[in-house]
Amino acid sequence: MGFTLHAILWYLVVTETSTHTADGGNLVQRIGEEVKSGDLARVLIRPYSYVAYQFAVFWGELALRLPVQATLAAAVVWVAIGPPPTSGAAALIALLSVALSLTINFLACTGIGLLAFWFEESLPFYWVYQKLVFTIGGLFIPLELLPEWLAGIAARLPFASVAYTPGRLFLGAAPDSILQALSLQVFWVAALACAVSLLYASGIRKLSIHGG
Amino acid sequence: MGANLWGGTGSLARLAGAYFKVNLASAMEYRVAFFAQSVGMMVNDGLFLIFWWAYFERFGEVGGWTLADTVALYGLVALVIGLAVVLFGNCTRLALLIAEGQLDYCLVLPGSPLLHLLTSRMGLAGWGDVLFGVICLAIGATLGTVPVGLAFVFTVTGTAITVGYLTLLGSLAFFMGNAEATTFQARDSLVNFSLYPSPIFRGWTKVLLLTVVPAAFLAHIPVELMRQFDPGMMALLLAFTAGLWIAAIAFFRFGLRRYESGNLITMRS
Repeated sequence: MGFTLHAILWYLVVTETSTHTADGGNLVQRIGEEVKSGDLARVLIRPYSYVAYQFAVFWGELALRLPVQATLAAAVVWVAIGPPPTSGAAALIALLSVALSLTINFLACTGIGLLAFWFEESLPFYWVYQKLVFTIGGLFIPLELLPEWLAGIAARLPFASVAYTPGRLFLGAAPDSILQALSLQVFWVAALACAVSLLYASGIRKLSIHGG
Repeated sequence: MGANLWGGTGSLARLAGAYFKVNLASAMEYRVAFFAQSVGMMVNDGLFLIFWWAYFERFGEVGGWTLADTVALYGLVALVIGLAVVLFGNCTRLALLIAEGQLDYCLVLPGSPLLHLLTSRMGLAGWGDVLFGVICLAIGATLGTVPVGLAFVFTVTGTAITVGYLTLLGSLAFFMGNAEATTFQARDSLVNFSLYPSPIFRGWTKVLLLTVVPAAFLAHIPVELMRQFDPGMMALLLAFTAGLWIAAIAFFRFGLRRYESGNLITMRS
């Protein structure tokens, strides 16, 4: 399937918005520092879930950053090349997909941050994850432009659900493709939520506090 | 002020060498973190190349550049950024150090305060960049697309441009107070623009990359020179590198003259 320059630029607006506004590196560092310094221990005596707390902080920060960056990016591209090649329905579906994408991104970065229970530095894992989102996640170019065998594998991985899916749905897709794409995102939310829960429970069991 | 910013070349080299040994020994105390960061950065750099491999598989070339040229580009950029971070680890944090008053500690030490500031820290992840860069350039040398002598020269000029550019921007903290965001954006711009084949850039973006964000001098011109050597372009590159360094040191020195310590008590990091 061919993409025009117009479509690719608007695709980039959506993919860049749904990934870069999340600031996953900051989340990974924050969680990693709290684990390493022992600050996490103060959460254990409080009646709330640490992961849910981080989720609330994540969305709180996004509440300002997401609309501002999305509006600025859309305004620049609209002025440069014209209105988006989409419909109202496709834009709404893409908005739902962006919300799921950000949730997947949050869970992935939280899981990576919690690796600090086992590794001194979890930031290298984040770098690898980020580059996988950039390349086989479809941040830079739609998966259709990758070699067919790679695109087939990449489409099923969580990285594509972070970047490619919202961008592709924004450009419009057939109803069964929309359902398939959104279902895959929901699957990855559920799978990563389970993984993060297991990681957290396992990490708390081996928690030891350093420092005074 | 007392400190001689220029110093003798021999004493500057010995000071930098001493800091390197201490920083490396300190890094070896946390070997798991050191190897995790280095390997992670290597994998990070390698994954970026996957995008270009996929692109060239489909489109063949971009403005005459092939995958081999892009591998040479990535190798050179990774190597110079890695060396800048390993040897002059504080070059990315100069604005922060000045704003936080950590410059005060260096002012009472013998020798160049700028050299103390720049070399007193080693970025561990930079080793991954260095290794990745060497591997890419070695592949290029084996394929005959990267002349070894030129690669060595461009590694030196590229590292000098990176550190000089970041020093120039970091010194804005003497005048702006909080220059960290500006430095961060400029550093990211330098790296990101350097990593795309130069034929992509035309018009005003080309002018930008030859001036405000010198990615063209860091990476594009060196790779073009490795493809087709041009003595005039080489002379321009060397002149730019020398000029940037002179400007960076002069600007730091100018800012230092008007610097006043806030007597802030800080933890030196």
